[in-house]
Amino acid sequence: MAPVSALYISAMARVIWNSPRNPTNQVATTLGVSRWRLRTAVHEIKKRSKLGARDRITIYDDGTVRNANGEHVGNIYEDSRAD
Amino acid sequence: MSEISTRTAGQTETLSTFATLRFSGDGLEPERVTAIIGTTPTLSYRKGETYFTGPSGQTATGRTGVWYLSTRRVVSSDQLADHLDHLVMLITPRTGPDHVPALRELIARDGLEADISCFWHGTAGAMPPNIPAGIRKAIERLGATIETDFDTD
Repeated sequence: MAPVSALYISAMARVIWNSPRNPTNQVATTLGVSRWRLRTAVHEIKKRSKLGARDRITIYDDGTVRNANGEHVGNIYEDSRAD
Repeated sequence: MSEISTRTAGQTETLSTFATLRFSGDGLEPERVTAIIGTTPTLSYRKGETYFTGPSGQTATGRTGVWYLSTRRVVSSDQLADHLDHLVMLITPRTGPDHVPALRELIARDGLEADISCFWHGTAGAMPPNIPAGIRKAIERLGATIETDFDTD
Protein backbone atom coordinates (compact mmCIF):
# COMPACT_ATOMS: atom_id res chain seq x y z
CA MET A 1 0.00 0.00 0.00
CA ALA A 2 1.31 3.45 -0.88
CA PRO A 3 2.44 5.74 1.97
CA VAL A 4 -0.06 8.34 3.22
CA SER A 5 2.07 11.16 1.80
CA ALA A 6 1.94 9.53 -1.64
CA LEU A 7 -1.83 9.15 -1.42
CA TYR A 8 -2.14 12.82 -0.41
CA ILE A 9 -0.07 13.96 -3.38
CA SER A 10 -1.96 11.61 -5.66
CA ALA A 11 -5.22 13.20 -4.57
CA MET A 12 -4.00 16.55 -5.85
CA ALA A 13 -1.81 15.61 -8.79
CA ARG A 14 -2.52 13.24 -11.65
CA VAL A 15 -0.26 10.38 -12.67
CA ILE A 16 1.00 10.94 -16.21
CA TRP A 17 3.72 8.26 -16.34
CA ASN A 18 4.29 5.00 -14.50
CA SER A 19 6.89 2.85 -16.21
CA PRO A 20 10.54 1.78 -16.08
CA ARG A 21 11.05 3.10 -19.61
CA ASN A 22 12.05 6.61 -20.70
CA PRO A 23 9.02 8.96 -20.63
CA THR A 24 7.38 9.71 -23.96
CA ASN A 25 6.87 12.98 -25.84
CA GLN A 26 3.34 13.06 -24.43
CA VAL A 27 4.71 13.32 -20.89
CA ALA A 28 6.99 16.19 -21.94
CA THR A 29 4.07 17.96 -23.62
CA THR A 30 1.85 17.56 -20.57
CA LEU A 31 4.56 19.04 -18.34
CA GLY A 32 5.33 21.79 -20.86
CA VAL A 33 9.04 20.93 -21.15
CA SER A 34 11.08 19.69 -24.07
CA ARG A 35 11.75 15.97 -24.20
CA TRP A 36 15.52 16.42 -23.77
CA ARG A 37 14.96 18.44 -20.60
CA LEU A 38 12.58 15.77 -19.34
CA ARG A 39 15.11 12.99 -20.08
CA THR A 40 17.91 15.03 -18.49
CA ALA A 41 15.86 15.43 -15.30
CA VAL A 42 14.84 11.78 -15.15
CA HIS A 43 18.44 10.64 -15.64
CA GLU A 44 19.73 12.86 -12.82
CA ILE A 45 16.90 11.88 -10.48
CA LYS A 46 17.45 8.16 -11.06
CA LYS A 47 21.22 8.38 -10.67
CA ARG A 48 21.26 10.33 -7.43
CA SER A 49 18.49 8.15 -5.97
CA LYS A 50 20.43 4.96 -6.70
CA LEU A 51 17.74 3.85 -9.12
CA GLY A 52 18.70 1.88 -12.19
CA ALA A 53 17.81 2.77 -15.76
CA ARG A 54 15.12 0.06 -15.70
CA ASP A 55 13.64 0.98 -12.32
CA ARG A 56 10.02 2.11 -12.42
CA ILE A 57 9.18 5.71 -11.63
CA THR A 58 5.88 7.55 -11.42
CA ILE A 59 5.61 11.11 -12.72
CA TYR A 60 2.73 13.40 -11.72
CA ASP A 61 1.42 16.40 -13.63
CA ASP A 62 2.93 18.75 -11.03
CA GLY A 63 6.37 17.36 -11.88
CA THR A 64 6.68 15.17 -8.77
CA VAL A 65 8.65 11.94 -9.29
CA ARG A 66 8.24 8.93 -7.00
CA ASN A 67 9.97 5.56 -6.96
CA ALA A 68 8.22 2.17 -7.05
CA ASN A 69 7.63 2.39 -3.27
CA GLY A 70 5.81 5.70 -3.62
CA GLU A 71 8.69 7.66 -2.07
CA HIS A 72 9.45 11.17 -3.32
CA VAL A 73 12.74 11.22 -5.26
CA GLY A 74 12.58 14.49 -7.19
CA ASN A 75 10.69 16.94 -9.35
CA ILE A 76 10.99 17.33 -13.11
CA TYR A 77 10.66 21.13 -12.99
CA GLU A 78 13.45 21.49 -10.44
CA ASP A 79 15.78 19.13 -12.27
CA SER A 80 15.08 20.44 -15.77
CA ARG A 81 16.02 24.02 -14.93
CA ALA A 82 18.28 25.71 -17.48
CA ASP A 83 21.92 24.69 -17.10
CA MET B 1 27.90 6.70 -55.51
CA SER B 2 28.19 6.47 -51.79
CA GLU B 3 26.86 9.25 -49.63
CA ILE B 4 29.12 10.59 -46.93
CA SER B 5 27.46 12.30 -43.98
CA THR B 6 28.85 15.69 -43.12
CA ARG B 7 27.47 15.34 -39.58
CA THR B 8 29.99 15.06 -36.81
CA ALA B 9 28.96 12.54 -34.23
CA GLY B 10 27.52 14.13 -31.12
CA GLN B 11 28.75 17.62 -31.99
CA THR B 12 26.49 20.40 -33.19
CA GLU B 13 23.35 18.29 -32.89
CA THR B 14 23.69 17.70 -29.18
CA LEU B 15 20.86 19.11 -27.07
CA SER B 16 22.13 17.80 -23.76
CA THR B 17 25.07 15.73 -22.59
CA PHE B 18 26.77 15.07 -19.29
CA ALA B 19 28.31 12.25 -17.27
CA THR B 20 27.96 11.12 -13.69
CA LEU B 21 30.27 9.32 -11.27
CA ARG B 22 28.59 7.44 -8.45
CA PHE B 23 29.83 5.39 -5.51
CA SER B 24 27.15 3.58 -3.54
CA GLY B 25 26.67 0.99 -0.84
CA ASP B 26 25.18 0.47 2.60
CA GLY B 27 28.60 1.00 4.18
CA LEU B 28 29.39 4.19 2.28
CA GLU B 29 30.86 7.04 4.31
CA PRO B 30 30.80 9.92 1.80
CA GLU B 31 33.65 11.86 3.38
CA ARG B 32 36.02 8.95 2.69
CA VAL B 33 35.41 9.26 -1.06
CA THR B 34 35.67 13.05 -0.89
CA ALA B 35 38.96 12.79 1.01
CA ILE B 36 40.49 10.61 -1.71
CA ILE B 37 39.17 12.47 -4.75
CA GLY B 38 39.47 15.93 -3.22
CA THR B 39 36.30 17.23 -4.80
CA THR B 40 32.93 17.97 -3.24
CA PRO B 41 30.19 15.82 -4.83
CA THR B 42 26.97 17.15 -6.30
CA LEU B 43 25.15 15.17 -3.61
CA SER B 44 26.05 12.59 -0.99
CA TYR B 45 24.24 10.82 1.83
CA ARG B 46 24.54 7.77 4.05
CA LYS B 47 22.02 4.95 4.13
CA GLY B 48 18.94 6.12 6.02
CA GLU B 49 20.01 9.77 5.89
CA THR B 50 17.57 12.45 4.71
CA TYR B 51 18.68 14.63 1.82
CA PHE B 52 17.22 17.53 -0.19
CA THR B 53 16.02 16.61 -3.67
CA GLY B 54 15.93 20.18 -4.95
CA PRO B 55 15.65 23.89 -4.13
CA SER B 56 12.02 23.57 -2.97
CA GLY B 57 13.27 21.86 0.19
CA GLN B 58 11.55 18.52 -0.38
CA THR B 59 13.46 15.59 1.04
CA ALA B 60 14.06 11.89 0.45
CA THR B 61 15.65 9.17 2.55
CA GLY B 62 18.65 7.26 1.26
CA ARG B 63 17.90 3.59 0.58
CA THR B 64 21.66 3.13 0.56
CA GLY B 65 24.67 5.40 0.78
CA VAL B 66 25.47 7.48 -2.32
CA TRP B 67 28.32 9.76 -3.39
CA TYR B 68 27.24 11.36 -6.67
CA LEU B 69 28.96 13.81 -8.96
CA SER B 70 27.32 15.15 -12.12
CA THR B 71 29.22 17.17 -14.74
CA ARG B 72 25.99 18.76 -16.00
CA ARG B 73 26.52 22.13 -14.33
CA VAL B 74 30.30 21.84 -14.07
CA VAL B 75 31.47 21.21 -17.65
CA SER B 76 30.09 23.49 -20.37
CA SER B 77 30.71 21.40 -23.44
CA ASP B 78 28.44 19.63 -25.90
CA GLN B 79 31.04 16.87 -26.22
CA LEU B 80 30.41 13.84 -24.02
CA ALA B 81 34.16 13.07 -24.12
CA ASP B 82 34.88 16.38 -22.34
CA HIS B 83 32.48 15.43 -19.55
CA LEU B 84 34.01 11.97 -19.21
CA ASP B 85 37.50 13.44 -19.33
CA HIS B 86 36.59 15.67 -16.38
CA LEU B 87 35.61 12.59 -14.34
CA VAL B 88 38.71 10.66 -15.39
CA MET B 89 40.91 13.60 -14.35
CA LEU B 90 39.34 13.46 -10.90
CA ILE B 91 40.31 9.82 -10.36
CA THR B 92 43.59 9.88 -12.28
CA PRO B 93 44.89 13.48 -12.26
CA ARG B 94 47.55 14.38 -14.80
CA THR B 95 49.59 15.81 -11.95
CA GLY B 96 49.66 14.38 -8.46
CA PRO B 97 48.85 10.89 -7.21
CA ASP B 98 46.68 8.38 -9.04
CA HIS B 99 43.56 7.92 -6.87
CA VAL B 100 42.52 4.60 -8.42
CA PRO B 101 44.41 2.31 -5.98
CA ALA B 102 42.94 4.11 -2.93
CA LEU B 103 39.45 4.09 -4.44
CA ARG B 104 39.67 0.40 -5.31
CA GLU B 105 40.77 -0.35 -1.75
CA LEU B 106 37.83 1.67 -0.37
CA ILE B 107 35.40 -0.06 -2.73
CA ALA B 108 36.63 -3.50 -1.60
CA ARG B 109 36.79 -2.65 2.12
CA ASP B 110 33.38 -0.93 2.39
CA GLY B 111 31.58 -3.12 -0.15
CA LEU B 112 30.84 -0.29 -2.54
CA GLU B 113 29.82 -0.14 -6.18
CA ALA B 114 31.19 2.41 -8.65
CA ASP B 115 29.49 3.39 -11.86
CA ILE B 116 29.70 6.03 -14.51
CA SER B 117 26.73 7.04 -16.63
CA CYS B 118 26.83 8.84 -19.96
CA PHE B 119 23.80 10.91 -20.96
CA TRP B 120 23.27 12.30 -24.43
CA HIS B 121 20.19 13.64 -26.23
CA GLY B 122 20.45 14.81 -29.80
CA THR B 123 18.27 16.26 -32.52
CA ALA B 124 16.36 13.87 -34.76
CA GLY B 125 18.75 11.81 -36.85
CA ALA B 126 21.88 12.90 -34.97
CA MET B 127 24.65 10.37 -34.45
CA PRO B 128 25.25 9.39 -30.82
CA PRO B 129 28.77 9.94 -29.48
CA ASN B 130 31.42 7.30 -28.92
CA ILE B 131 33.22 6.72 -25.66
CA PRO B 132 36.95 7.11 -26.42
CA ALA B 133 38.95 3.93 -25.76
CA GLY B 134 41.37 5.72 -23.41
CA ILE B 135 38.52 6.98 -21.25
CA ARG B 136 36.86 3.56 -21.22
CA LYS B 137 40.13 1.98 -20.12
CA ALA B 138 40.56 4.49 -17.28
CA ILE B 139 37.04 3.82 -16.05
CA GLU B 140 37.59 0.06 -16.20
CA ARG B 141 40.77 0.45 -14.10
CA LEU B 142 38.55 1.77 -11.32
CA GLY B 143 36.31 -1.29 -11.65
CA ALA B 144 33.37 0.94 -12.45
CA THR B 145 30.55 -0.04 -14.77
CA ILE B 146 29.63 2.23 -17.68
CA GLU B 147 26.01 2.92 -18.57
CA THR B 148 24.87 4.86 -21.63
CA ASP B 149 21.55 6.68 -21.97
CA PHE B 150 21.49 7.95 -25.57
CA ASP B 151 18.43 9.07 -27.50
CA THR B 152 17.26 11.61 -30.08
CA ASP B 153 14.16 13.70 -30.67
